Amino acid sequence: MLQPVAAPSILGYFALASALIIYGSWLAGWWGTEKDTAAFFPFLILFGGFGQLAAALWGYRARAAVAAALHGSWAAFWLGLGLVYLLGTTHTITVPGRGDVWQSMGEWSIYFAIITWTTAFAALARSPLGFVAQGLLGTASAFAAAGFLDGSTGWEDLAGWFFVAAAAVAFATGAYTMVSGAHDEPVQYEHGDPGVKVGQ
Amino acid sequence: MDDGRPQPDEARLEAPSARIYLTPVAPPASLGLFGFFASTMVVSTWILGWWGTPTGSPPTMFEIAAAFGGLAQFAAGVWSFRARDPIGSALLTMWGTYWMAWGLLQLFAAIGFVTIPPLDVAQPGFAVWFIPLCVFTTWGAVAAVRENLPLFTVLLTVGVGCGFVAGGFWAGSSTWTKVGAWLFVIGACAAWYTAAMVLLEYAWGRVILPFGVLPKLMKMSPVANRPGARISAPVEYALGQPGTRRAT
Repeated sequence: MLQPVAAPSILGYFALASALIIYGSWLAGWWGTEKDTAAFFPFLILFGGFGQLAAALWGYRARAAVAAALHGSWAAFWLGLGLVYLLGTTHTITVPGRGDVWQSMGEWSIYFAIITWTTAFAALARSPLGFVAQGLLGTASAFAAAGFLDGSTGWEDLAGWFFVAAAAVAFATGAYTMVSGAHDEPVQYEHGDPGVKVGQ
Repeated sequence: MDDGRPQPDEARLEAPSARIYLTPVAPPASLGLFGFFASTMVVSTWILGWWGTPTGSPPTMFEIAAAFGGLAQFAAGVWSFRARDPIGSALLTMWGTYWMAWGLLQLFAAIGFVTIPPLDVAQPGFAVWFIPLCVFTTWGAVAAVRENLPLFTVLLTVGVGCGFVAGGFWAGSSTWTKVGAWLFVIGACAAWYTAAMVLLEYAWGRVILPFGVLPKLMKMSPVANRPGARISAPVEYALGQPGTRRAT
């Protein structure tokens, strides 16, 4: 039994791009101070985290293996990073600032780079745009790893730029997927309820 | 038997023929094993002293472990039921709960509710966590003998590693704990390989990373050991929406 669903990667890429552009531009020092993490962490948790998690879990039903792996992984990243900033905001823990050595986040960034390059290679089979977005994101993670482990604002700035570039291509990937879906030839009844026909 | 009593309506109906719906889903193991890989590498290498400090690192380390090794792996484990994967449904879910529980423990430590002693001090209350993890993960390795070598390697090294870690935390022996952590590192690398192997085969429609199938012992054809080989033939309505075909 084949069950059609809307492409979850649209939400996934939109949520990923939104979190990336906020965090990447902040990490690159384009705007804000250390205190601004208290203002943007809820958005990271809820859209970057839960938004992508929903997309990832619907990715299983959509038979979208890359979407499930990519968005599930990065959903976890934003949930975790958001929780770090939440605990920092409540003064439960001390969170290193930009340009400080942050070894644990450097370690996480290494493995997110490896995982994201893996999903990028998988995406290359069907989605060149997705490959570029994920390739940039994996590279950004590698630069972030260098920045956090070394306490280098230079590497962090570079990572921020790459996060923003990845955000731009991720947005384009989601936007393309949304528009290209109009060219599907779905199985549907003309006058059915939503689900029986495409859309509301 | 007609004993004169009124019969319910359905008694006069023919038994309906049984139907089985097979519903394809993307492989949940990749996300689950990626979460396991990253979380296990970060925490095991910290235990081994490759980076960080004993008390300074956990407060900013546990959050992503709880979300990635925990929540994401748990979700992948639950989806493994739909994938009809008995090993994944049991063990990804179990390890997902472990990482969430560990994250909760570290959160309580960060808040000050509990104090976590160093590795060379006995922690029997934490050591006992690893007894069921050891038993069930090792048993999973026994089942994986019929699957593929990478998955078998993950489960065997992690299962045995749990035994060492349980002994290490029980006795306050950092040496035993570090032996377990080394086994975890090996298992984590095998987990990345297994996740990538499954993901790439699904995405490309052919084998990219060899499956490590031992002929006659494992269920899959040894063809799966040859890069470029096609080992799956998905049922697809090519022009339809995601779900009726594989999607990106």
